[in-house]
Amino acid sequence: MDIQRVRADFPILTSEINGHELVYLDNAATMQMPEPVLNAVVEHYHTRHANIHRGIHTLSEASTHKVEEVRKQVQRFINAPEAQTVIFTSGTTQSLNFAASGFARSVLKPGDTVLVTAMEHHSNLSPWQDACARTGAGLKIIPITDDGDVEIGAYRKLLEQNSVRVVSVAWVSNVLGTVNPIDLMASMAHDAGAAFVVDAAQGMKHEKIDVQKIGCDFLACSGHKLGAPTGVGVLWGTREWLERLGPVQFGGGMVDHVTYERTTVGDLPFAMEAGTSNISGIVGLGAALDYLETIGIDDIARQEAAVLASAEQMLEEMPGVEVLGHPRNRVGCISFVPQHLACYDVATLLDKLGIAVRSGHHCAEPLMGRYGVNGTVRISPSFYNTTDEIEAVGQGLEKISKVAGKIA
Amino acid sequence: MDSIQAIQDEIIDEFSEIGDAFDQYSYLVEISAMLDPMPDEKKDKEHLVEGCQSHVWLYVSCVDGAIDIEADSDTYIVKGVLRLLEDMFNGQSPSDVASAEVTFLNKTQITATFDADRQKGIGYVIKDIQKQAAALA
Repeated sequence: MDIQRVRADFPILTSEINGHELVYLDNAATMQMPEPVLNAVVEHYHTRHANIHRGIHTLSEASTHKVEEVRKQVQRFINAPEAQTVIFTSGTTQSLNFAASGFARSVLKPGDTVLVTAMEHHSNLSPWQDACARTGAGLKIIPITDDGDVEIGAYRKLLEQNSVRVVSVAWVSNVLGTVNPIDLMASMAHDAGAAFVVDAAQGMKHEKIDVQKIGCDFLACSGHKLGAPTGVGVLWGTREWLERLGPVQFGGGMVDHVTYERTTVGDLPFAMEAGTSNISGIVGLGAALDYLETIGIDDIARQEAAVLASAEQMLEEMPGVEVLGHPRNRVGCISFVPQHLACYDVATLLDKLGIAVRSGHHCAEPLMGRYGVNGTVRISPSFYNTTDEIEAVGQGLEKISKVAGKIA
Repeated sequence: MDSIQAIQDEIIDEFSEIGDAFDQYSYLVEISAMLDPMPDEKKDKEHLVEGCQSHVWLYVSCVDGAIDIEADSDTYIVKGVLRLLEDMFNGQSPSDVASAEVTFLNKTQITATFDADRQKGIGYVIKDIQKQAAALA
């Protein structure tokens, strides 16, 4: 992979921030968009912008055709058995809310159990808390080790209760970078008669994804973590489960027939896509998937792993910082806790050096509590980042540690 | 004692002589050390400034007709700003504090590079100080 050529595809990477060249390492929050994605969105507005599925005019037909083309593209990207089970949403959060609300409506009852891990993003915790509160089901937490790996033995024990109806797990932790053994966890859930939901927000471009191989029942992801615009995502589910859960939002575009008395819903995927979708976002998602496939998922994963490994080494050798978790397999991001300054101070000072990282609880407050910290600073590289940029972070942290030294 | 405006002008001058944004923020971290430490038992919910993303605990009292602010935060950069506010307001009359126009944050670019939530948060701290000072006037 020619890294400089790849970087040239991302115009924002040449920005100057506070008099320094931008070092963008906040990709777990959102990835930058390459030129082909930006062009595809502009081209859409220039040539075929219209609402889909509802018009017989040429522009509407062209937009509809494009959206359905992207649906097939997503199907191929995740190796789903059929395109009709790919539901466009506003992102992972909405996808997981659809799943959790669907379970609350159609599956969960008092005495049932829902399992999530101790490392979940709020988006894969709060919707299940709500689903349990509405149905009388119980939510239990699969514990993790201090290193940040799921305790498989404890998971097995929780499944043995025979009341577990659904297990929902992050493929990759957005704080620790832990890659969870979702194939194994899915098969264990199925053996216990539970459905398995994957929060793939952070997992999508670290290895080739295959929902049939994983054996999951649902997968939720966001476009903007893949180089697509914000506000577009996917919920994939098996036809059996999607039809069992049914829609949780009602409105235009998803109906079969409506009278004053009642509404009958249409077929998948439209039954789950009430209202106007983020059409230009979907177009951008298609372009982003094209782009990732052109670069090659294996090359992308390799480059990200190399940059992350250099970040890990830099942080482990850096005095005054403590890396949070040491999972067996880490991708995407690494978090650390500064010993002499607040996370916010470190992230703010790095920003003044042109370095974009994230600080705070990363929408994972319970995980922060699990480790007894208020927050972390998170470095999350993408395939357009370089080890030189990690070196720049290292130099920045050394400079910051001198500032911290003055108040120690 | 110098007036609030004179102290504010001095802060603005001092900041204009500090180099780039990194140095200015480093300076805020450095002066945070000059803030008297607040005992943990005083960091209660009642004295937490609402709407501030960083935790800021604030006590405003009047001793012999002069304002006495005691403040602390969980971030050092914000602590530095609190130290500047203490410099400006401590020892001044409650009515002067309540009616002061706080301009140094914008004139020094301190808040210009704060994120929007923190800009608002610092605004809440100042508003809270002035509201309490007005009540003490």
